[in-house]
Amino acid sequence: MKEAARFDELLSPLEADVLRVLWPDKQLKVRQIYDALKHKRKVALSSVAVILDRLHEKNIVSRNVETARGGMRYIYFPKHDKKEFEKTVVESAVNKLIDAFGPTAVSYFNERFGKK
Amino acid sequence: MNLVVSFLADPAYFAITVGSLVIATMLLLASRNKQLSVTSRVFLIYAHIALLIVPVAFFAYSSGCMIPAYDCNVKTLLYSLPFIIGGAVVAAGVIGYFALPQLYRRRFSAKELKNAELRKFVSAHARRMRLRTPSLFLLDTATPVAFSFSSYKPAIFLSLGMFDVLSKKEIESVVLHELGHIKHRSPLMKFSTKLVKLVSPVALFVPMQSNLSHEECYADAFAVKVQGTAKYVTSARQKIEDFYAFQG
Repeated sequence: MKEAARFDELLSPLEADVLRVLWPDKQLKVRQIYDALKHKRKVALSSVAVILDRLHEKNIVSRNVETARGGMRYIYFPKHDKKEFEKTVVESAVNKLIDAFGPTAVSYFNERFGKK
Repeated sequence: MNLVVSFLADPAYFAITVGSLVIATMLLLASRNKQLSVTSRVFLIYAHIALLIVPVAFFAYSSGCMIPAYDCNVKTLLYSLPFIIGGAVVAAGVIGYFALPQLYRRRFSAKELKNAELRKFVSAHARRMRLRTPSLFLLDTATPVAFSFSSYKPAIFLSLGMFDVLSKKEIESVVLHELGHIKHRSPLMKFSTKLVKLVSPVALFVPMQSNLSHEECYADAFAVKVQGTAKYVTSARQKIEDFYAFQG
């Protein structure tokens, strides 16, 4: 429940796009993510950096510091793969409904999914 | 309150108080003159603070145990007041000069910046500017931040976020901007401006913001002069502004 609660808020379109870039490649720098996104949509490098920092604060992505010849950079990678992430979001939404409506929500789920 | 009224009722003390306040205000206004060197302007700021202490000192020495219902503890406190204010200002100055970079380093858990190329760049320019080579520290935050100290051991702090969004030339423009600050002793000016705002009631009525913006303009102009183009200073500033605008 606690893990799921971290994904309470829905992702913004840019957050979702950034995650879609990160999922297959796993570990990328801000500039690499920007390079992958700039052909698909109008976006600034600074905006990508803000989004990644936001996703890091939401505990959706992690980051390490990489020391390279040109200096130090953050390397970002997702905490969960796409399936795990989606599962956690669904779990969070279901838990929220149960918290809010209690037995009504549970009996609805039984009715709705019991038929199948 | 009666204490203050009886103090000001004395023509000599009244003249000292009004005279000190007028001269202190004039000194503070003079410290805003951009034609003066930073050292002179900072001297005027501290002279302003010292002059504000003068009437407080006279007030303390004129009162003490002579006032009915006040015991000698009050006298001791009043006697100490000018020393407390003066001592606090001097202590803040000494701490600022010797320990501020280290305090910031600890406060933000900054690590030494291990970038040989950038260190070489900084030391070459510092040598050319006849400055002590500043230490370089790295802040672990994605927000692009850079600041410097021109104290006993100069230091430049850069955040990881700077390296994420800026190109090599833009990073160099930021470093040159900070070297410009160190050369011009802007951190001393910033520190003194903030200190005077904190301790002087007169400073509440004197706009001091231009002191800080003037230092930024100077540092930008310095970086542009060294790089021979405004391209990188402008693009670095734009990217940093974009970051903050998007962050909201």
